[in-house]
Amino acid sequence: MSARGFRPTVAEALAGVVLVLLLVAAFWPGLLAPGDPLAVSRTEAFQPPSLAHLFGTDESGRDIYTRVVHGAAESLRIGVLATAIGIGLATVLGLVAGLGPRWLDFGTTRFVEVLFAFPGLLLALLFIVVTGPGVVSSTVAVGLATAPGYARIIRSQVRRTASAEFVEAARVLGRGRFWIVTRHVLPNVTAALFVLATLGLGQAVIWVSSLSYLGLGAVPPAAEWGAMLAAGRTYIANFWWMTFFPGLAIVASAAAATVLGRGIQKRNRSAA
Amino acid sequence: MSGAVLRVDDLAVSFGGRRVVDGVSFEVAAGECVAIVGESGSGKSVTARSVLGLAGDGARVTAAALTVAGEAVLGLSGRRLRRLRGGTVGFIAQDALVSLDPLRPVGREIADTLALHTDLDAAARRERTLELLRRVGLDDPELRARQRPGQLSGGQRQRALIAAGIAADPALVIADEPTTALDQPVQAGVLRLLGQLRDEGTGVLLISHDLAVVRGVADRVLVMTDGALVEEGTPAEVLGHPRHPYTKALVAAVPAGRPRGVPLLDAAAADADSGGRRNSRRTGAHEPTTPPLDGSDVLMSVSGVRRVFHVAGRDIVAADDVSLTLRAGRTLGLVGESGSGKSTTARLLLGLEQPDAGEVTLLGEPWSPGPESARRARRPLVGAVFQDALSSFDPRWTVGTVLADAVTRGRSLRPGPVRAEITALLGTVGLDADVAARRPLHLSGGQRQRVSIARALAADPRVLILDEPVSALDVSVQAQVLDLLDRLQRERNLAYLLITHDLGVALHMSDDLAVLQHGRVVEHGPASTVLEDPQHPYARRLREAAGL
Repeated sequence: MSARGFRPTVAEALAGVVLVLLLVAAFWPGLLAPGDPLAVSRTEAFQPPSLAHLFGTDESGRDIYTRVVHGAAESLRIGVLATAIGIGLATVLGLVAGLGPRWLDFGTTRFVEVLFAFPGLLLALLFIVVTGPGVVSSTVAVGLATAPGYARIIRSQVRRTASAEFVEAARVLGRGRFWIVTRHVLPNVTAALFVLATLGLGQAVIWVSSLSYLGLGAVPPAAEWGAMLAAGRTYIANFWWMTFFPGLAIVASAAAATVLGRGIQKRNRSAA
Repeated sequence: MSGAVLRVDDLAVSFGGRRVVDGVSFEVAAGECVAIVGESGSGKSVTARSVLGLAGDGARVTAAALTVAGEAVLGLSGRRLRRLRGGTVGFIAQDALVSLDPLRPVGREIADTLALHTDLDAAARRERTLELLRRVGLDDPELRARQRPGQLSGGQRQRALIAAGIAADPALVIADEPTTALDQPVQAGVLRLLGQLRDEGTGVLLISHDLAVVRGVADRVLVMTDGALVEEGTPAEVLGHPRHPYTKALVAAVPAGRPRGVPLLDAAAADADSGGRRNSRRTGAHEPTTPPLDGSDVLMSVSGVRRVFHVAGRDIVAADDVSLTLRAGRTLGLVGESGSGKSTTARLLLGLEQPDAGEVTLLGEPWSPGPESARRARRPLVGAVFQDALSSFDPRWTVGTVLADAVTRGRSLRPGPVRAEITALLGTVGLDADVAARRPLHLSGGQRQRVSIARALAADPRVLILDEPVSALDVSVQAQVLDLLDRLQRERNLAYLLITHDLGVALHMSDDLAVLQHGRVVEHGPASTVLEDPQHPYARRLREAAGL
């Protein structure tokens, strides 16, 4: 890859800024919002956005700006973990299907297709019904629900790499199966995985928020975006800022991850 | 010759300040076939496309005069240009598979041209379409007109494309590498068709890199290099007595008719091309060094091998009772059309494909069929060079990584510790040491193939399987690689299996020849007897097609 072709577009630069802000918010929330996200102040309930409260306050007088910033850690951690679980599982399935004997490929592919037939959120809900609500189970649920989509992509990548002429050349040189998988197939698939992971991160944040919104993930008063949305829903007609700003955070992080993922994908392709 | 259908005077084309065509002038008269020959990047295709206003996005085309049938092309409006294309000028592209819409029957494609450029009614167009298909030599035109490109063979597709190109009775036909993708016997048919068009009064502008193609059909040959015409004359003059140094090198690089063992390029030219690494030893023919046939030097032996593929419920016999022998220091040329089973045979020898019947032995020991584990230890004895060198390298690896892997037999991918071996290998194939830091993607076709040969040599093999090693290369680069292979064979006493569709290459390189048709060896023996006195009708057809 030549470093010259890496000039970001305006959208990508913007997405980068959003992502940096998110990371800062996730690791050092105090830098952006020094207040306590759980500090209650009855007298300041339902304040509209102002200089004192940038995003307004909620029904207990908690500062929504502070809560959105502090919620980033929770939302991102769950998002990253869920994506990691999804892609990890998918890599195993994809490798098994892509490299295994025919019957194994057949079996794995059918299994993935059955999973695929369920809408992802439904699959996640099923899992939570079995394991009970909570942060951990909603994370695992989202990971499981996103795995089939990744598995299909990884399988086709593995197949394509495994039938490439350079793999044949390696066989002629006397290299074994394991050697070929670790030196040729995996590294070539990883490049594509990186893009998938970035794209998937945005998706996972939305899903985790959806589950929290339904009351199946993080529960109030935790500062989690989906949970905040759910809490603000009751007041949406009168106090729009309670749902608008957490929602904006979800949309912005998902969009930023997607834009960056696409950017990397585009450059990968032109480099190949 | 008064009626010039195409007049080009001082044509220049540049892309973003880079001149790719510079001051080209020529004429094509009615009933004349003019050929432009040159290697990739010489600007020949851009010249041809400029005539149609298709030089490409961002191209700046200027000319003192550029007229087709008396009409100036430069400055024509889009609408007038479209009238010109397909109407006054027929264009025949190189690859019919990508030039024809896969979802439309070829008859429709031709009828469309007629609808655009003639005022025939539907019934008359249909009549004319069938007539055209018959004229380009397709049997059963009614059926062909209904078929889609995917249902036709390569030669049939190319003929259909020509039919579409000549549908509106153009005054000028431009054929850009019309036969490159075709097997030799099919090639000959297409060329005859072009010759026929010319005889009927059409001007033909033929673009080709292949001197043999040009020789057969052109009235005049223009040699192009670096965007300029360097020589012009009849084929006999240009190819028989080239004057310009570039033409001389080009003609000398053609392997057809050059005896076995004679280097195609003289030492001086080769030195200049490969950075002075070539041995200065100037050798003539080396007939005596070919070892005698006494059986002790048999390295690889194939006996009665059969391989059948089951595709969509049909059995395709790719190899049927194939028996071959590879001997140290000798080359076995394997020739045949595409689909005749050449590549399957190579894969059987490489143990990439298991035979359904018969067996392959290496140094007298069983090689295939059998489990891969039984072959692995002896893999270093058999090397391979593939047609498409680029895709035979991991796209993430540099040349250094590729060779480090080959030198250490997979134990390490780091070039550092084996720098000396890598440099030596690169030197053997005539490349500089600094190539190691580069990626194959950024090398030229000839350099890639050299790296591929270096990789095959790293394990010190006794046998090399060469699957179309030069068919993707320009003639002069092809000559360098062939000379390199020839030298390596002599120095290392290697046995070669050379697979090629080019009889010229096969004859120049081979001691023995085997002709493959429908998976069967129909002719097999010393190169001199197989093609000088072919017994099998198919081998005879091959020989005629090659014009030997």
